[in-house]
Formats: sequence, C-alpha cells, structure tokens
Amino acid sequence: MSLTIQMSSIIKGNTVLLPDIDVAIEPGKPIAIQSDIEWLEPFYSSFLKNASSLLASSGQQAIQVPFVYLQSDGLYARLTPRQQIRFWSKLSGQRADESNILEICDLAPVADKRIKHLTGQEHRRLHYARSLVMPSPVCLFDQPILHADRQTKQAFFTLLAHLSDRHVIVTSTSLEEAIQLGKPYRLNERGLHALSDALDQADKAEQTDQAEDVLSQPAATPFKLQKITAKAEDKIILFDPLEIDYVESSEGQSKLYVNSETFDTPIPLKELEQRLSPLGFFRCHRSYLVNLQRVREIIVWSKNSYSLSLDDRKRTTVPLSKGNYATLKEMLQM
Amino acid sequence: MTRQQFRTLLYKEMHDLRSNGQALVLLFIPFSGLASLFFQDRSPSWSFLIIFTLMFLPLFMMGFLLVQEKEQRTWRLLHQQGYKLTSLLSVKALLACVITLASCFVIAWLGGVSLFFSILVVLYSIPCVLMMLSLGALLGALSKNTIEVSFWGTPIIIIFIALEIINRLLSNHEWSFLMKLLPNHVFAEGLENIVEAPGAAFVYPFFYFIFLAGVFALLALYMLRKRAYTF
Repeated sequence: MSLTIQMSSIIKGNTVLLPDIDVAIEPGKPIAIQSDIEWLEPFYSSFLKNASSLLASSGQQAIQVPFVYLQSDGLYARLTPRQQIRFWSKLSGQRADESNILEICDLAPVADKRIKHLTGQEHRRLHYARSLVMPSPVCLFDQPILHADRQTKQAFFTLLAHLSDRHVIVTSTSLEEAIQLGKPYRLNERGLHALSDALDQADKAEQTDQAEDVLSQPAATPFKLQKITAKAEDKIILFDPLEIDYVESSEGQSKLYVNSETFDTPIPLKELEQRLSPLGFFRCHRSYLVNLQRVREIIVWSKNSYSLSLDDRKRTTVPLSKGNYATLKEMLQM
Repeated sequence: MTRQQFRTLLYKEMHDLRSNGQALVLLFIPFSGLASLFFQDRSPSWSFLIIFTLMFLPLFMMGFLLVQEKEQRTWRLLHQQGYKLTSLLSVKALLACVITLASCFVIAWLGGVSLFFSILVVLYSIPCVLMMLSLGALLGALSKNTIEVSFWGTPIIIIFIALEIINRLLSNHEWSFLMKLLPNHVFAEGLENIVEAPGAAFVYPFFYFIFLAGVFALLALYMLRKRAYTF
C-alpha cells in the first residue's frame, strides 16, 4: 500500500526554504532524495515537526513515531551495542531479536564492546540497527552511506532488504548515491521531482551518441562512460554531467560549478561543449557552458545585455551573449 | 511519559552510571573523608562530611548527568519518542537524589549515629538535596559540556565555603544575627539538633530549605525550558 507524504512550502521573506512536497512511496521501494544540504535540513525539520500529519490517508492508521536517522544523532558512549539495542527496544515497547539485528548490521564481533571504543563506521551501523528495532512504518535515513566504507555500505543494502515492508526515504547530496539507493528524486526550489525522466533523456542521448560512434568507428570501444573529471587536491573526482550547474573558462582553465563548489578540470571548454551538448548543456557565452536544466530565468538587462539566472539558492547568474540569445530563443521556441 | 518509559530510562541511567568515571570520582571524595574517621585522630565530624557531601555531590552529579545528554546528542531520539525535558530531569534527579541520600545515610551511620537518627538525617537532608539538584539542573541547562559544568560549578562551591568562613569569623559579632539566615548556618544548626531535639530540626531549618528548594526548582525549570534548544 503506497503512502503519500505531503509538506507545504516554507517561505521566509523572499527565500523559499522548502518547496511543496508531494510524493508517494511504495513499501520496499525506497525513494532517494538528492539535494544539497541547504534544502535537506528544512526537509528533515519539517518531516520531524509534522510527522503525525505528514501522511495522507493511504489507508494507514495515524503514523506511529517515524524512524529518523540524522547524521547528528548520537549514542550513549558507555553502553555496549547490545545494551543500546535493548534500550531502544524497551523504548519502543518491542521485543527485538538482538543477535539477528547485530548480525544484519555486522556488529556481532563488537556487541559487548563499549560504544565509545567503536569506530565511526560501527556507530553508523548501530544507528541502522535502530530501524530494525523500531516498528515505524516510515524510515528516513539522512545520507546513510556518505563517506561509508564498503562493509558499512554492504550492511546498509542488507538492511534495506530487511525493510521491504516499510516505506523508506533516503537522502543524499550525491546523485550517484541516490541512484544506487532507490528511485532517485531531486529536491530544489521547484519542488521534489523524479529524476527518472531526466535520466531517461540522458540515456537516450547517450545511446544516440554511442550509435553514432559505432557507425563512424566500428572498432571503437562499445562502452562509453559519461563522466567529467576534475582535480581536487590529490584526488581526481568523476562528476556525473547532470550534477554540473555550469562551466566557466578563465585564463585557459575550465572550472566546473557543482552545488556551489568549484572544481578545476583539465578538459578544455570546447571539448566539454562537444561532450555535454547532447545532455542539455548550452554554450551561452564564449567562456560559459550552462546546464539548461538549471536555468530558471533569462534576464534581459538591455538590448545587448542578457544573463541567465540559475535555480540555485544564490541565484547565480551566467552571462548570455547577444548571438547566443537568439540561438537560445530558437532552441526554446520562444 | 508512561511508567514503562520511566523505568526504561532509569534502567539505562543505572547501566550508564556504573561506568561513569566522573560519578565514581564524586562518590570517592566523601567516602575517602569517611575513611579518615577511622584512621586519623583529628578527623572531621560526620556532620561536616554530610554538609561537604551535600555541597558538591548532587550539584555536580545532576549537572554531569544532564549535560551528557547534550554532549552525546541523544536527546533528539528521546524527544521523538515522546519524552519531555522535565521527564528526563526527573529520572536523573531521582538517581542523583538516591545516591546522595544513600551516601548521607552511610556517612551518618558509620560516623556513629544510630540507625533511627541516621534515617532522620536522611529525611532532614531531602529539601537541601533538592535545592542542590535544582542548582545542578540549572548548571546543566546553561553548560554545553562536562568541562563547563566543572568550570561553573566550582565557584558555587567556593561561595558556600566562603559563606561558612564568614559565618565562623563573625559568629560573635554584633551583626551575627544576619549570619543565622545563611543556608549553611541554618542547615548545620538543624543537623546538630537532630540527635538531641529532632522536632526543632524539622521546624524552621526544614521549612527554610523546602522554601529554597521550591525557588531553585522553579528557576531550574524556567531555565531548562528556555534552553531546551541546546539539547
């Protein structure tokens, strides 16, 4: 039986803190909300505040206390995982199979070790265990696999399998994680939107691109990975093109703008244009390439001066040249 | 908060307290003083040890227990399960109160007071313990961590010690009647009367501390509500 979560928008002054949210969740089919932390925090507080009235009919009785795991949640450092689980089960008035829960969350070897002596990853797995102890029909996990090691990720996916009768919401700041964890949604100023459509379009574009490549270069590799690389200190980060807001070229160096952060990429703007155009990117200026999915407004300052305003919280503006304005108008059939 | 929830939290606190180093150190101090009753000739009296214990044990224990909920960021879950800060306060206060009164009983009894009068000492100390627990709760509400509790709790102890010094120095002064209004003077007077005139102890000194405990409890509840967001 599906469950509908409805939240009204929260607006403070001229700023939208949280847009209207209306989403249906099927039991055993987690939804994964991808957004930046600025949107997720009001989402959590609204979820916690209105937990009892959140759930529209759906044949469900008034919700019991929903399970919520937030990154900031703590544990009683002097208890052991076994004692902590026992405490939670008494708290929720349920009998819990401690050994089984400890096994699922890969905590059996440290079951009788004090929590203060456990690692951060073990702390996290102990929080996962709480979802099995508490009988809530709805579970919200705040970035459960952010910076998690493989063992913890594996434990989380095992946990999801055990929550097949629950309505699970997972949040993440990373699109890749969101896709891994469940049906991906993006939360931004315009609301909560399923990413399946956008991803389908991207897939189609990719498939078309691949088909063209196969025709032109029969011997080329059959697998084409659409990742944009960027350097950050000693790491090379691989970005999903859909994560990128816009690209700027300054003094011969291309810079990727992703979630209000900037990353240098060794790929020249021209090559990025070729690779990203099929995915909805547009060369709005000789130094800028913008993700059209992120454009909220076209601002006409004067006859020869235009800008594109993006839908991020800072309302970032990107210049739009006069010649490209005409092209954009044609593209958008304005 | 249901009875089951109360018991659950109390049980958890007891588990937690067994390995709480700060609480164990707090308990060690009065009992090491008690040991000196048996091993030294010029040892402090049992009444001094009780006053000393009441001065710091409930204050710091309450402050530590309450602020640990902030430090460990565990309050959100309890709050979500329907607990109120006053429920949390009552569980922790009950535990700290029982430990303090048990310590007072042991000190009095091992200090040579009969079983009956030791029980009277415990009953007489209840309002004073409640006053110090309220001060501890106030400390817990205003502090961010256990270090701050120690930092701000120490001046309170120093103030009580200073009041006692003033009381002793000015006992024969023409203004000494003012000293009789000080809490340490009132408490000591009641404690001295317990064995010889228990009725007198349970009149003015007892009600004096009930009044103070009420005032400080209201203040602690007000401050706790005001600082609820810090949990």
